[in-house]
Amino acid sequence: MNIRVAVVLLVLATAPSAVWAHATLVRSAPADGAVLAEAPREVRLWFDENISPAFSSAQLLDSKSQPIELAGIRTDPSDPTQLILSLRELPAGVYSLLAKTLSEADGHVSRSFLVFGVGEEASRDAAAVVATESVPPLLEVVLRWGNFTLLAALVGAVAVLHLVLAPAGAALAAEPALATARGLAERRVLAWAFYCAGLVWLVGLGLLLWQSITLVATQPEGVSFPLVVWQVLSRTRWGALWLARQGLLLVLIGVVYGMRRALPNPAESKPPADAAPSQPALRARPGRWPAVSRARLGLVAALLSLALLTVQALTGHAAAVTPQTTLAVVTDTLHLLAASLWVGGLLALGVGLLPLMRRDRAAVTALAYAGWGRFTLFAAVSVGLLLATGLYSMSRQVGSLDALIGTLYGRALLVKIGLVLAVGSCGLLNAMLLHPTVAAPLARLLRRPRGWTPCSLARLPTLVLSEAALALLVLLATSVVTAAPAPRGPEFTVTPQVPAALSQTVDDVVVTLSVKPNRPGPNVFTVVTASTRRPPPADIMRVILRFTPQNVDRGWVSAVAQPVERDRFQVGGHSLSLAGPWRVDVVVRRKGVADSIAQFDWIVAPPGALRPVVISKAPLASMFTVAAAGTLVTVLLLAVLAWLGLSPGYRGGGGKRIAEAV
Amino acid sequence: MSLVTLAVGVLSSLLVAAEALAHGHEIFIKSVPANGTVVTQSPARVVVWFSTELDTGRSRLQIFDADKRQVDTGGGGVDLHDPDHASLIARLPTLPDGAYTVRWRGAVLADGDIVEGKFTFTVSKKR
Repeated sequence: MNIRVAVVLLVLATAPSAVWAHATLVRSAPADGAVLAEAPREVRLWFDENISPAFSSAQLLDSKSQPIELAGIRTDPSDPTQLILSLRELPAGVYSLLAKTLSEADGHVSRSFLVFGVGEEASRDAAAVVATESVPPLLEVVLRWGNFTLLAALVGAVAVLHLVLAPAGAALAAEPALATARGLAERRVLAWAFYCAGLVWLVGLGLLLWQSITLVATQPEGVSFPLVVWQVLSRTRWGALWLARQGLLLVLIGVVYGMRRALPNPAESKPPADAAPSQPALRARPGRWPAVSRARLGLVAALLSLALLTVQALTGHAAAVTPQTTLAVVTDTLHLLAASLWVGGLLALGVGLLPLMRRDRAAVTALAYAGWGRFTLFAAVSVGLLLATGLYSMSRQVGSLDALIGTLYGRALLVKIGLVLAVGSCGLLNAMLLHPTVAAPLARLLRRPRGWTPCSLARLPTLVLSEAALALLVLLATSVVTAAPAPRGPEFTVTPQVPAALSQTVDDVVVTLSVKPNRPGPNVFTVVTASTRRPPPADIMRVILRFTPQNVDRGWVSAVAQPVERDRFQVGGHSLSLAGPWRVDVVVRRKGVADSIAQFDWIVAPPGALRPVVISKAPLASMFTVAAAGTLVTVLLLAVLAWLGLSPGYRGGGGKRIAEAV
Repeated sequence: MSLVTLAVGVLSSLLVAAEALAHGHEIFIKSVPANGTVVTQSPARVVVWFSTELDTGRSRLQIFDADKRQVDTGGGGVDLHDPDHASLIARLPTLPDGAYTVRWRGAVLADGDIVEGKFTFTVSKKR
C-alpha cells in the first residue's frame, strides 16, 4: 500500500510538466485598437496557455453596449491556445469583445477584452465599459477558508500523532499513568482528525458546486446543472484533481478510523495488579492490532496527507506559472506542509492535550515534557520554511511593487504577511516561556535577571489560543489571495512610457530601431543607420533583425529588412508574438567588414490600455527569488545547528518548565 | 542484456552517427575549383558556397599542398563581401603544378553546429 501511495504521489507531483499558465490574451487578430477597412469574418484570440473549449465563451458588443450574436465559437484542434470566433456581417462602428476562458491550470475563469473599429477609429472611450477587477464572492472565500483550515487541522493532527505523541510515548514506557494519558491524547487527536477529514470532504463538495455554478454562466442557455457538474468533473483538469482529492480523503478517513480502532481501549490498558514492575506498559498491551501495523498505518496516513497537499497545490496559482512549474508546485506544497505543521499542529495539540489537563494535570504535563520541545523545533523550522517558500511564490506571482499595493491579491498578501508576523511574535513569546534561554538575549537587553520571561507561564494557554486565533485569520487572508487572480502578467511590469524607438551606437554606426504599433502581432520594424565617419567605411549590404523573448525559451527568429531609402530599412512581420521583454539584435552587414550588431532590450506592450505607474513597475522576481534562496539556506543551517546543539535531555526541556510551574 | 538487444543498440547508434555525418555535409553546395578538377591556371582564390549563414568567428578555409604545407595567404574564412555570409573564401599565390587539398570548416550561425570537410584539385599547366 505504501508503494502504491508513493506512486500516486510521484505521478501527481510530476504531472505539471506541460506548459500551463493563467489564460492571458497575448495576441489577437484583429489587433487590439485596430482600425479595419472591412468587417472581419473571424476573430482569432491567442492565449498563453491551453484553454478549455467546453467552458470558454465570448461576447461581442457594439458601441451602444448591445450584444451581437456570434455565428460560432470554436478552438483550433491543432493549436489549443487559440479561440476562433466566427462573426456575422458587421456594419461600420466600434466593437468590443469580452472573452471568458477557463484556465486549465488553476481552474480560474479569466476575462480578456479588446476593441476594434470597422471604418472608424477605435478609441476605448467609444467602446463598452471595460470590466474592472472583480472581487471574489464571499461564499467562495468562505469555502476556501474552510478548506484550508480543515486541511491544515487534518495534516497537523497526523503530524502531531507521528512526530510528537509517538516519540513521546516511546520515552514514557515506564509510566503507566503517562501511557494512559498518551493513549487518551491519541484517541482525542485521532477523533479530531477523523471529523476534520469528514468536514473537508463535505467542503470539497461545496467547492465543486461553486465551481459548477461559476461555469454555468459560460454555457448556452438551458443546459441542466447536473450536466455542467458532469462536464466539470470529466472534461476539466480541475475536476480530475477534485476527484483525486476526494478519493485520497476517503482513504485517509478509513486509515484514521482504522488507527483509532487499533488503539487499545483505555479500560484494557491498565496493567494487571500482579504484573512485574519491569514490564513496559505500552509494548505489552495488545490493542486490537499489533503495534507494527499501527506504525505502518501512521506512515500511510502521513503519505496520504502529503499527497493531499500536493493536489491542493496543483489546483492553485503555482500550477499556472511557466517555466519551472514543478518547482513552483513543490514550493507551494512545502508551504502548505509548513503551515499545516504549525497551525494544524497547534490546533491538534490544543485539542488533544489541553482538555485533558483538567483530568490528570501531572500526567499531561509530563507528556508535554516529552513532546513539546520537539514540537517547538518543528514549528520554528516551519516558520522559516513558510518564509522561504512564501518569498519564492511572491517572486513568481507578483510582478512588481505596483502589483503588490494596487491589486486585491497584493493587498490581501500584505495583510497575510502582517498577520503571520503577529502569529510569529506569539509563537516566539510561547517559546520564551517554555525555554528561558530563548528569552536570554532579550533579558540581557532589558537588564533582567537570568531565567526571566516576558510574562508568567500561567498565561500559556491564553497565548496558545491567541496564536491559534491569529493563525485562523492568516488562513482567511490566504483564501482571499488564492481566490484572486495573480498579478504576474506584463501589464504589471510594462510602463506606459514604452519607447517606440531606441538608438544605439555600435562600432561607428548609430542604429535606430522603431517598432509600430509595438503590440503583439503584426508590426512594422524600421531601422535607420548613420555612420559617424565621413566617408563611411563601407556600403551597407544588408540589415538583419533577430528576435527572441526574454522570459520564455523560444529561440531566435530572423527577418531581413529591405532598403526603402538610403540608410533606411524596413520589414513587416509577426515576429513579436508576445507582450513583455524581448531581445532584438539589429545586424548591420557592410561590404568587406565584420558585422556590427546592435543589441536592444525591447519591451512589447500588452494588448489593452496600460496601467499607469503608481510607485514602481520594476520587476521584482529576481530579488524575491534570491531572498527566498537565502532564507532557505539560513533556515536549514539554523535547524541543523539547533538539532545538533540540543542535548537529548534538553529536547524535552520545555515540558519540564510546564511541570515545574504548574 | 540479450545479444539481440545489444545488436539493436549498436546498429541504432551507428545509424544515428551516420545520419549525423550525412546531415553534416548537407550545408555544402558547391566549390570553385570543384572537387577533383584539373585546372590549367593557378587559381587566384578558392570559394566554397553553403546553404546557411555562417559564423564569421569560427569558420575557416585552408589549402594545403601534397606535403601538407599551408599554401594560401592566410585568413581564409567567411566572405565579407557576400551579403548572405554563406560562403568561404581564401586567396592563393601563384601555385606550382601539383595536387592540392582544401580543408573547410563551417560553423552554422543558427545552431552553432560545426561541419568540416575537404576536397582536392590539381594544377597542371601541361595540356
